[in-house]
Amino acid sequence: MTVIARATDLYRFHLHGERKEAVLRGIDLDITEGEFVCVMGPSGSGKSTLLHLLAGLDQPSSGFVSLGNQRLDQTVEPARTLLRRRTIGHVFQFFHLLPNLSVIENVGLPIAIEGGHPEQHVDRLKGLLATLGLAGREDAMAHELSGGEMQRVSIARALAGRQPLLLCDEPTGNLSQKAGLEVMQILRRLRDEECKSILLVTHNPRDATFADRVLFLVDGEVAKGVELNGPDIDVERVHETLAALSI
Amino acid sequence: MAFAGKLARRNLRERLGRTFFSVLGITVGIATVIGVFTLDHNTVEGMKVRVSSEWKPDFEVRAGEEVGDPKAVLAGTEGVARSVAVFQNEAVARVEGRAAPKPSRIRVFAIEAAALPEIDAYSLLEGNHLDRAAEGPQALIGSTLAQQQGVGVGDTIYLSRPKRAALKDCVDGELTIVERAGREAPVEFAFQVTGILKPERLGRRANGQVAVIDFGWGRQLYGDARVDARYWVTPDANLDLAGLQSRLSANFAYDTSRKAVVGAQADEVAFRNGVRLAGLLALVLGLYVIFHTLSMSLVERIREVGVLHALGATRGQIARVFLIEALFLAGLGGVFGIAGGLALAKFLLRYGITTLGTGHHFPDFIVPWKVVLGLAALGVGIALVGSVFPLMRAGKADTVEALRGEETLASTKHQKGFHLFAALLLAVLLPALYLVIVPVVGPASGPLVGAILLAVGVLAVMVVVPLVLPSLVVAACKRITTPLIKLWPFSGRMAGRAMEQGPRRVAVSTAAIAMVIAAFVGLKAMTNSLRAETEVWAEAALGDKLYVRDLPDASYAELRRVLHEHPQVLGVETGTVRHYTQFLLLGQPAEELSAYGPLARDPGLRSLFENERGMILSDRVARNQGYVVGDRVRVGTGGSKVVEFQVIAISDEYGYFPNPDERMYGVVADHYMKQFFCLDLDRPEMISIRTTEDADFAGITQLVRDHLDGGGEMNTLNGNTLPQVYLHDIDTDFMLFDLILFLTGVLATLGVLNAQLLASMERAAEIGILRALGATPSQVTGGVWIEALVIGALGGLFGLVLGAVLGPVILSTLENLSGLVLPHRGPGWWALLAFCAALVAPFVASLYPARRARSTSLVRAVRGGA
Repeated sequence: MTVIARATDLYRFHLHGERKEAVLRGIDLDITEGEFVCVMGPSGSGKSTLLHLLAGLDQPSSGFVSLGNQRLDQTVEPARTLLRRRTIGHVFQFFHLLPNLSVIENVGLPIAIEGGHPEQHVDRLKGLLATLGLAGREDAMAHELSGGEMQRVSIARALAGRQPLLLCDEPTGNLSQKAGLEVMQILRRLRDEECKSILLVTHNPRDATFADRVLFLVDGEVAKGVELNGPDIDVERVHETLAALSI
Repeated sequence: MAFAGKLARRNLRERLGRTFFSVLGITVGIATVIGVFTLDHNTVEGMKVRVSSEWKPDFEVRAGEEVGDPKAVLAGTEGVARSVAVFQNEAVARVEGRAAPKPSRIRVFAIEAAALPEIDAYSLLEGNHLDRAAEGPQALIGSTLAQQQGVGVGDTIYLSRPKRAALKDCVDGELTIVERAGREAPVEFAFQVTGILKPERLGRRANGQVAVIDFGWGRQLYGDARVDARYWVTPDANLDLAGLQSRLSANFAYDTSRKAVVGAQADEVAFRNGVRLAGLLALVLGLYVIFHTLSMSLVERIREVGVLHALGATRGQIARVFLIEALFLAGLGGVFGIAGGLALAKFLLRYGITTLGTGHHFPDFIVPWKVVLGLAALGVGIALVGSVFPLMRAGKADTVEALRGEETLASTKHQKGFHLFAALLLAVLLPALYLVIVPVVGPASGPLVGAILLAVGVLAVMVVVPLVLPSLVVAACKRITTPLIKLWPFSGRMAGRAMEQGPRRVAVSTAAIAMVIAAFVGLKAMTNSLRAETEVWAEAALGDKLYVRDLPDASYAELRRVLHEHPQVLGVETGTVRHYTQFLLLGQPAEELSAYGPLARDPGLRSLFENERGMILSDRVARNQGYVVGDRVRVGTGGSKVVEFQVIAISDEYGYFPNPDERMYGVVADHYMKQFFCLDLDRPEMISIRTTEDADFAGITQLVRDHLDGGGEMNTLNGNTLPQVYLHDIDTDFMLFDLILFLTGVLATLGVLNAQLLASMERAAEIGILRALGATPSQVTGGVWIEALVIGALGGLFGLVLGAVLGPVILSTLENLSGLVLPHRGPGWWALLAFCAALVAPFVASLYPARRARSTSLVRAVRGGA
């Protein structure tokens, strides 16, 4: 299977005055085409840092990240940005919609950034929104949407550029149970119907059950021997594993 | 580019309030400076047109008899760029041929041919200048002469001097024949016509019946006839008028074209430079405001920068969004600034407000496009350069921290670098470029350069300190806020916290207000001092004087006799024995001046005045032209003579008349005016009657009327009431400064508004949480208003202190530049008004931001990610 993204022996340290703190230690991770991987861990375990490193938004202290065949440590800006643009769709915990743009303009942003004309893709973008249950909301502004609607717009934006990999940083963190469930069902559908590769970081056991594979980050390291593999990962197994790891 | 443009357009449209106020700030700054310069340009050009009804050279000088080589002496005189020998005389012009018209009587100007192309005394309709290397005589002729005689370029015209007429001159008060008429037929020369003159300047003299020939050929043409040779002097480019006049007067009598000196008198130079510097203040303030707005606007959009980068937009694409916004704001401000500035100048000129006083109206409006476009480009260019640094900073923002909401410009180590960069731009580069585009008026003398450097230095301090050391300002603000917390605990604390969070914002707002207040207070101190100077002068020149004008035909001697019968009359001066030389010269009988003034205080002066060509100079002419008691003043008389007077006193107590309203004059014994200028002494049209204190003016007036059988249309003017008129003139002349300072006050207010608006938007979440916790809208707006009042109070206090220091400095500079002696006065009650304005303006500026803060949606404010 084609590896879409790979982390090799990743380390990331943060300096707090004189003190050096290890956020990630020796992370090795492959995400293959059409795979739904979930990384779980408590707050401060390094989940988001791992996501940022994989997206090229941050640089590892040692080790490297590859997107496709290209090592990020062997590229410089703006090549790194272009690689991210063409490989990764981002879904953020806090949605991060641009407040001055309408729903369809936010969704079309990746096309505009690439230099295209979103107006020429209106039908596809509307179709995306319809798929995500947002038909008829194309012209609404961000502040007129509910939390769940905003996250679905964020997902639509992440899909608009047709990137092979979706990075989702706690996408249900600010949503209600119902809205969060809807979002996870959408993500699963994308994996099943469109073979999207997805990396999801979360601390919500329910979200983990939608993945093909669940990894656990503890103190910056992937817990060895406790990987959960699907299909049908159930929430009890996740809870048990978390308890066993004392998370 | 389309992506960046679309985002930029959307951002400008969604933040309409801030877009509007940002454009307004640049517009007002550029409009003020363009308006000021255009006004000054039209003033000077309009005055030149008004005074140049007939063309005259800038300086025309006649050498004293003892000067052996006038040209060499002029070449060695500092301030003289070039001198050209010239004389003019009558001549007869004719052509040959069967159908030749009658000969014409013309005016000939004989000028050194080599200098002709440079002295700008004429324009050619066709043909060429005189060829100094030509073997035979050549001439340029006026268009009327060419038409009358039917000659063109290349033709021959015969010139001869007229049969010598008897030459009359004023000799000892009588017009006397000094040369008898000649009997022999004059010699005729054939001149080749090389060019036809346009009917302007020299070409207009004698209605176009004029010829210009080489000086050497002129000497031959006039042979043994008396020739009154003069020299046309071109001064150096930076005309130091007073200095040049002083140096020339040592050996020459001179006459200055009014056109050459329009706007070049020392006090005019000081006023015009003051106006130009006030314009610079407006431009600096406008850009100060916009810099702050552009940089602070990035603070609230740093998360947007992070999102765009995370989505794959390159740093360059992100920077383009902000650059397009900056280009739009600056460009639109520049366009509106040009339109607004020209409209402002036109409006002021329509109401007679000029940079040389009020009450002048000119028919034409000239746009000095080179400077106007230069100033607009300067304003727009500096605004864009200033926005580059925050753009670069935005480009380097840490994406992860931005997404988390931790990255702000306020917290980065680069912010200090940006503010230092902005300070250098505003305090050094902008004034330097401004003074290249809009140079100072007059020569760059020591006092003037010192004044400019001082003004720019003060501006630099006001700009640099708040940007680089904002903590000082915030510490001062906290002191003022502390007692307010006791009165309004919650709102006071909110205000204190807001100021702590935005120290540079507070410092910039405070500095902007302080700059305007300091300029205002300094200017009012200057105005009050000028008023005081006028009061001191008026007491000497106008006190206890009754002016009687439009007298019917009456004997001056008889009038004096009748008036001296009144016990309160001390002296009667005549206003019509006068002659213009390098300054106004007045003649008065010595006996009329002996009961008051210098001749009364020192009786020994009377003999010098009456018998030894003593001259009493007014204070203004003595200071302007550097005369002291004992100096010699050369005056050109009718004819070719120069006569010398000696300065025996300097006083304003004699000689002033409201018509002409001239404070630069000299007074000599009236018989010298008859002797040298053949003036009639006995039929005055106006007189001034000097009286004792609290004299009965009505009774004295009646005495005159009775003597003159009713007096006809005569009218009187009480000298004791005239000062109010002149003081009113000072106030109206300085209205222009008041207007400029008002506009800079608007700019400062806009700056505070922008800053407060940004602050309330930045703190929307915090305000929303506080409201959710129970704070009322009034408490929220109270915090905004208290902050505004504190900024105003500190800015006002700082401005008053700085203005108190600036006032004496401005006065000393004005004294150096103008030669006036100014009693030093403070701003008086204007200082209190200025402080009140400093409180009110930020309060008004904060009304809109307070309303925005008050109406913050609680839900939206506490939501993250939207």
